[in-house]
Amino acid sequence: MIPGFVISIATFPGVIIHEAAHLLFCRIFKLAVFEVCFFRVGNPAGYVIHERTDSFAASFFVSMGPFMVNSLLCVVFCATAFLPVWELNISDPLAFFFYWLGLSIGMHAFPSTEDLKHIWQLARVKLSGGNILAAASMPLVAVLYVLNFARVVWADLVYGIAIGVLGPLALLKALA
Amino acid sequence: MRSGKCVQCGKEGSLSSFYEVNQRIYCEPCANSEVERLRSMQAPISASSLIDGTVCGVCGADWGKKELPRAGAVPYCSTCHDKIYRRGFPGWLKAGLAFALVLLGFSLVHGAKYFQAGLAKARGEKLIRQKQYAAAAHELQKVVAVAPGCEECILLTAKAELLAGEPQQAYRRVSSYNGGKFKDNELSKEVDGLFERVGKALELSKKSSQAYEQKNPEEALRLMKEAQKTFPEWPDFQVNVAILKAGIAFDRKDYDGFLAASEEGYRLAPHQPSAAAQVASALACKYVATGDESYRQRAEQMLAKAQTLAHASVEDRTRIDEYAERIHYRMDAKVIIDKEQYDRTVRRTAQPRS
Repeated sequence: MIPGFVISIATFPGVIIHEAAHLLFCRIFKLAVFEVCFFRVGNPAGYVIHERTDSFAASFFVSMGPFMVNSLLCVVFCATAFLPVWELNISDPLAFFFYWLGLSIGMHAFPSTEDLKHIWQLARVKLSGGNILAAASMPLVAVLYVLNFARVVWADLVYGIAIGVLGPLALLKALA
Repeated sequence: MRSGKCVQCGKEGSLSSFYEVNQRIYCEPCANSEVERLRSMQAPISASSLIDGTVCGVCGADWGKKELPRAGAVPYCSTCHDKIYRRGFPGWLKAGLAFALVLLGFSLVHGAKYFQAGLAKARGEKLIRQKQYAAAAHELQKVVAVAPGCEECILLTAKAELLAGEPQQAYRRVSSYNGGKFKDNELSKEVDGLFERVGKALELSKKSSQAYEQKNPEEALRLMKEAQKTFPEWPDFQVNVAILKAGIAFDRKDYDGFLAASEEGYRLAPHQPSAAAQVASALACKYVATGDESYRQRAEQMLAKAQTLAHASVEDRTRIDEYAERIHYRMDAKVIIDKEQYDRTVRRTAQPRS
């Protein structure tokens, strides 16, 4: 069992991007941000304290922001490394650097359990008002909630590898 | 700043230092003991800290009696507005992201050849699935030029080359990699199997040529059919079968059979000038046998097609010119003779043209 802080240190770019994504969506939805910690050796490794809102869209995107931004950047950085390392068997140091960067970012894509709980509760309330985004978000939130618990068996790393390898592969097949 | 008073001990102070427990105001020690008391009675508890709307929750500035706007529950002053609503990304984060993007840009430029090779590999695999082996080999050759250590790429290229009819090139490729040793997997087994079958088929094809040279076209045809059965992926064997069938039909003076077999050969290899010329030859035979002018016209058309196809190669051009001369003689003299007879009788007596 590797302690969480060791994993956080080894994958610190992912923690920073995760918090930066929260901040980015707070800015987009004009929510007040009271405190930001991009990285620290502790639990949690980073956090953003922001204004609560009744808007489901704002809550959803602020909480799920890291999932979208981290996943996208994971695919972008891994795509650079994917071809030489995975497809062509070329030992390029820059490619390995990008694989580390991409996978570190991808590993921190999952929103925190607290964020997921908050969206779930808000979604249940908004669902009765016929909010389509609330209805659509519930299966994703449920899956991510389960995956968050599966982090003890490296579900976050598996997710990073899956999108870092399968994403560029799908892109390549589509372009060919 | 607003002030508050504890309902328990009567202590007074700033409102924000007090707590509300079940809608009654307490100082911190009294709030703690009240919560404990309620907990022991298992009574419902609603507790929160009090927020003074005249004190900025961000910088702590006291604005007297002025009620401040709130972000959620937190009051904030005008000087803190930008700090909480327009909180920027720190410089080190922007610099780090900029550095990563520059590195990414450099990597994309540096890795452009990998990208091209990766695309070529995907295209090559797709072309193999579509059975377009020559085009697949062309794409995959670009990949191994960039990634000479990629075992899968070498095996895929060799597979495409074998199926495209370039066994020597495929052999050179696999033998120049790691002494011809590959990991034992499905692809390496498949390529091994292809090499084995191609070897057998080429041997049979060679024997077929020998039989043909020894004036045994029936045996040549049997061996060529065997070669085709051994390696059906290779269209050349099928074309050779059609050519041999055409030759046998010609020898038997079965000009309908000759025409049918020649047309089959041309259908299989429409880019081969000799296949087009053989159809012209068969049509010329039909013209001589029937006197039907339409056969002559079609023969001329096929000859023109053969000459167009032979345009790029000097060797092909020479061969087709020689063929055309014999076909024209056949139609002009209305005599059907084979090449040997023609060389012996016509070419020996012919005068060189000025």
